[in-house]
Amino acid sequence: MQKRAFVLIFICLLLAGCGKRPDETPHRRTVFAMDTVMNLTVYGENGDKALDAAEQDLRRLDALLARGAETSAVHTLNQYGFAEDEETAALLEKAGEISAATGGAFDATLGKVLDLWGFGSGAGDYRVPPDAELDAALAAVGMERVFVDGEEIRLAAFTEVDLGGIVKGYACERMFDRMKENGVVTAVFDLGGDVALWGGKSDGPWRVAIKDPADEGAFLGILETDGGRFIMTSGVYERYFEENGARYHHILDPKTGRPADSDLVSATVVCQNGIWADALATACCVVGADGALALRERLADTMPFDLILITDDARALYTCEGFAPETNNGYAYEKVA
Amino acid sequence: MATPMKKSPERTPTKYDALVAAAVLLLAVALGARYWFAPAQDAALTAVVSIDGVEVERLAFDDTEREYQNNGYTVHVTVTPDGVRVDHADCPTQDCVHTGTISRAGQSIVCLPARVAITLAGAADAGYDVIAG
Repeated sequence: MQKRAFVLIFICLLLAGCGKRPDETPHRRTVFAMDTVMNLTVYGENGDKALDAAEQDLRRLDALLARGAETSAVHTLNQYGFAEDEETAALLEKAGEISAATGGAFDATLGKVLDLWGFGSGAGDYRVPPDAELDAALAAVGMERVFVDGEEIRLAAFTEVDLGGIVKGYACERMFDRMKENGVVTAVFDLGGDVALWGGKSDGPWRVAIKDPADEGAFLGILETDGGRFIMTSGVYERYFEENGARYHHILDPKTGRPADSDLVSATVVCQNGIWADALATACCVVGADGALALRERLADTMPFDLILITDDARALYTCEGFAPETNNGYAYEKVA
Repeated sequence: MATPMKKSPERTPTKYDALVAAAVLLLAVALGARYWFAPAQDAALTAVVSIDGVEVERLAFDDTEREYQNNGYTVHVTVTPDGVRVDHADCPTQDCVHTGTISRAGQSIVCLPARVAITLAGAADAGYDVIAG
C-alpha cells in the first residue's frame, strides 16, 4: 500500500512538473518620452517590477537629457555653457568618440541648426532658414567645441548640444541594466521603431520585421537575430516638411547644416551597443551607401555592426546573415559581404 | 541444484491500482484542458488607442471614425476593413498624417503632440515579434 501511494505521489509530481512552463506572460507598457512613444514588453514573473524600474529610468533620463526641459543638464549646458553631471559628461565623451570614428558624420552639437529648421526643441515650427542664419549657426558646430573634464562640461561660445541622436540607444542600454537587476530573461523595447532585444526566446531567435520606408504597410524582410541586439533606423521619411515643392527632412549633414543629400532613404543598424547603433544609423544616412559600407569595414574590429540600406534608386543592400528579404516588392536586394 | 523459483507477487489489479490509474487519467485530462480551454489569442486585428500611455479604446476593423482630443490637439482617425489612418490632425508636425494607413500587427501611428498612439494588436501569429524602422 505504501509503495503504491509513493508511486501515485511521484507520478503526480512528475505530471505537475510537465505542466509547468516557464512564465512567459507578457507585461506591456506604453511610455511617452524622449519625443517618441515607447512600447515596452517584458516577459516573466518580475515583469511589472522591471517595467517600473525601466519607466523610472526613462523619465529620469528624459528629464536629464532633453534640451527642452528646463531642469535638464543639457538645457543648463546650452544656456550657460557649463554644467556638471557625470552621466551627461560620459555621454558627450562617447558622442565625441563616435563623431571622430564617423569623420564628423555624427555630431551632437547641431542644436542651433536643428532649431533653425524647426527640428529641434521647438519641433513643428518648420522653415527653410536663410543662408546667413545657417552659416552663423554652423560656425558653432563641432565636437571639438565640447570640453569634458570629469563631470564638468564646457561649451565654446554659441555652441548648443543635442543628444537626440544617441539618447534612445543609451536609454535602451540602461533598460537592459534594469532587466538584468530584476532577473528578466526576455524583453523587447520598441522606441518609436528603434528596437532593443533583451535575452532569448523559448521558441527560437527573435524575428524582427523591417519596415519598408516607402510603404507603411509593407516590410523589407524579416531579420532573425539573437538577443542583446539594438536595431536602430534613421530615415529621411521620418520627419520632414515641404516648402515650394521641395522636401526637407530632419537628418542634417553636420558639414552643411542642411538635410543630408546622400543616396540613402534609410539606414538600419544592427549592433550590440545601443549608443553606437543609434548614432551610426544617422551617420550612415549622412555618408550614403558607399560611405556606410566603408564605415562598417573600418569599424569591423572595434564596433562590429550590420546594415540594411535602402537607396533612392530602390536598391536594398544588406550585410546581415539572418535577413530574409521580401520578394516582389520592387527592391533590388543585394547581400554585401 | 536448481533454485526454487520465488513466488511472483500478486498480479491481479487491486483498487489501489485503479486509484493510481484514475489519478493519472484525471491529471492528464486537467492538463489538457488547460490548453484546450485557455483563452484563445484573438486572431482578428484590433486598433488599440492610447492617450498619454493609457489605453482608452479598442476598435475593430469596421468602417468607423473617431476623434480624439488631448493636449490641445485633435486627431481624426478613420478605420476601414483595410486598415487605420489618421485623416487629419491639427498638430504642428503632421507625422501622424504622414504615416498613412497601417494594417499589420505591431504597426502604429503616433501623434506626439497630442500624445495619442494607435497600435494594431491581436493577430495570433504575425510571423514576427516586433517591427523595426
